[in-house]
Amino acid sequence: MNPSEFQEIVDEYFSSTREILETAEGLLLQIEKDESPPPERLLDLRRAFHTLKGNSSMMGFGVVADLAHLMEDLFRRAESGDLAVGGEVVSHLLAGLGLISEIAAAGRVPDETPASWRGVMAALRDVGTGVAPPPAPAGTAPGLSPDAPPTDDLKRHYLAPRTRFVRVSEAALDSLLEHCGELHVLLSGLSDRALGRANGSEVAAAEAEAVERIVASFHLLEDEVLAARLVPVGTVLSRFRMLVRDLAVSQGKAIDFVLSGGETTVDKDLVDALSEPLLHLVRNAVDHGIETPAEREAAGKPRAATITLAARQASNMVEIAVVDDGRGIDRARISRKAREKGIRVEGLDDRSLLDLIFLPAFSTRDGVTLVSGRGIGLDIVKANVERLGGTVFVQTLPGRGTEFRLTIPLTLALGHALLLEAGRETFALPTGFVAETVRIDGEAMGVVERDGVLPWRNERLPAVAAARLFGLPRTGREDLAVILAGGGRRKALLVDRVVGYLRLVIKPLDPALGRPPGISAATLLGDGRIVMILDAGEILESSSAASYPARRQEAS
Amino acid sequence: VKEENPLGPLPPGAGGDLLAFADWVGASSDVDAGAQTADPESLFVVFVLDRDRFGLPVSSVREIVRVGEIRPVPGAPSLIRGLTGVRGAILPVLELRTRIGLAPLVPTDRARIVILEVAGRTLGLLVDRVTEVVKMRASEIGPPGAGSSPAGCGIGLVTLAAGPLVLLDPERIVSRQE
Repeated sequence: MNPSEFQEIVDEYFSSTREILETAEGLLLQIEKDESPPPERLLDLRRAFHTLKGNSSMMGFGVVADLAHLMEDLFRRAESGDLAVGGEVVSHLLAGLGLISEIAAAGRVPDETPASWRGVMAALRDVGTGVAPPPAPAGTAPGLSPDAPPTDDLKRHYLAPRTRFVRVSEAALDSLLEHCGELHVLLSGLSDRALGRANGSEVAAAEAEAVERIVASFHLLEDEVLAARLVPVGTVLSRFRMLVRDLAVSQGKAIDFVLSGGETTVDKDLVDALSEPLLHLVRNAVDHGIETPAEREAAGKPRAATITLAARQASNMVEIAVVDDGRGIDRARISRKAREKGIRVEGLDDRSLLDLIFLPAFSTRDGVTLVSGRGIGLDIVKANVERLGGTVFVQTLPGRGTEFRLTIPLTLALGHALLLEAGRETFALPTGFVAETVRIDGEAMGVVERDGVLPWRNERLPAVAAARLFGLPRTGREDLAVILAGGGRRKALLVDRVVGYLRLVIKPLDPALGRPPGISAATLLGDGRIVMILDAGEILESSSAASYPARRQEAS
Repeated sequence: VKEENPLGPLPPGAGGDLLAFADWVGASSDVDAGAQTADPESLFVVFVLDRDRFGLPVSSVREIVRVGEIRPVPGAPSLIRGLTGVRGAILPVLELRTRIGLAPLVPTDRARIVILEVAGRTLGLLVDRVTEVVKMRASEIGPPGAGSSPAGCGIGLVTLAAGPLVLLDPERIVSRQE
């Protein structure tokens, strides 16, 4: 089963769970009103919980299956006449439904039954059996003594607005975003013009102010539209648990799988795009990173290895790390492999040497022999992540393990960027990779021109002129350095000036354009101008020796 | 071929209304009735590159717009003229001229961008000018001539009073760019 099929099944599970919840809740509320519920209604409910139980066990969501089992069992007892379904039973059932709907809303299922579920589950099991239900945890049913005036606690508990969810198709979310994109461009045009006239008269100034307020509230709207598209990465990450388990069994390895930060959210389109690169990385970790239990013992490590998938948000980027405590990547093997492929490794620093594993040459079928070099599919991983405007960073310690860290933007649709001028053209640079901007003084400029490096703090950063990268005329005024940082690298991009900082709509390039080097997407400014969005990740990695057009010609 | 265009050529500059015009041609005739017979009729937007005339099925043309700013993309394939903005969307603009050995177009007032909607994608095609919409019976369309078809995008050839008209396959135009 490929990841997207799996995702579809997970989506389908949650969507059908929500449907079952709605049906069951409706039926239960009807029962609550009826004196004696008709048998077919009880049967409907039992079927609903039976289906839920079946679906959940099939997905390996034992926590939900257990709960559904208890609920199904209640109806079995009711059908056989052992139990009267009345107010008390219904309220326990509704409590059970509440737990499941929390899960359905979150879109992920915990591995173990949460402690907070125990009371509800015990009540479902014991109701009508004569066993006294365990005392309700403090605070669950406050202020219920007769004649007591409604307390704030009581109101909070029973009248608190419940979060309700409605189902919206992805197409509807996409078209909302698209309209926002159009409005974004139109409004920024309007706002530029209004500001341009603002000095003209009091009326014009008031208009400009009104436009600014519209723009500000539009940005809130836009944020909401983007937020509605965010889904937890846990839905993708948790499917690797089974993969790791199955691979470990088939290879005779013992591996613990640890997942953290599954609640970190990213745009729904990114979640899908992430599954393939992660699949490669997890597979590589199991196949090549993790040693056999015997090898591990011999090396004085615990028999069971650990693979960790950890996600976290870092400002407007999301980091996902695939970490193993295996044998690490053998640098000597990389060098040997590189020489076989005719790649010079002399003079490469450690980072550049490690990064060779991302080259397509290292990912060919005979890469299988490069066991701990782990090249297989890494070029695909890198290409996929870069297409999302992200970077891949690898670090490894021999004998201790390896970490691959993917850094991607939160959303593909909207970003903050610096608007730069270089070679008489305007470019946008996503701020996710910008460490700072530095004015280059005469002395530093001399070093840049002589050595192609910029002295910055205690480092000497490779420096490259943006105009040179794109084969544009040099203006000779490139005295502003934008320090790019990401994927464990730093580089200075020389530009003429920074003309602005703005929030922009990111428009992916049509496939007809191929993959223009150094460019990740385009955007439309308020005045209708089209501006290329720079691929900071690629610029960080590219050799500063040649311009992109020159490299393209070499390649073709 | 009985008649090239029963309604005569369009006035110059009417490009933006060509599709409305095509709708009108379609509605005012029995295109549907024709489609049920063995000899269906279809409508083609006719455009000119230098002295050659080409046709694209109206069904794949979303609209025809005047040429605005086309922003070149460094490092893009040579057949891509650049990107242009159309109502909040950014579309790639393809230049077919280079494919049939012509120099890139220096757009005049009559130049247009024919916006194609093919296989879920939207792309612009830069043309010297758009001349008319013609209605063609399947029986009138012959196989494409070898020399007249830009990079294998031709799917048919019609000989009209004004000269040959090469009918192009929009899907091939789009896919051959990659």
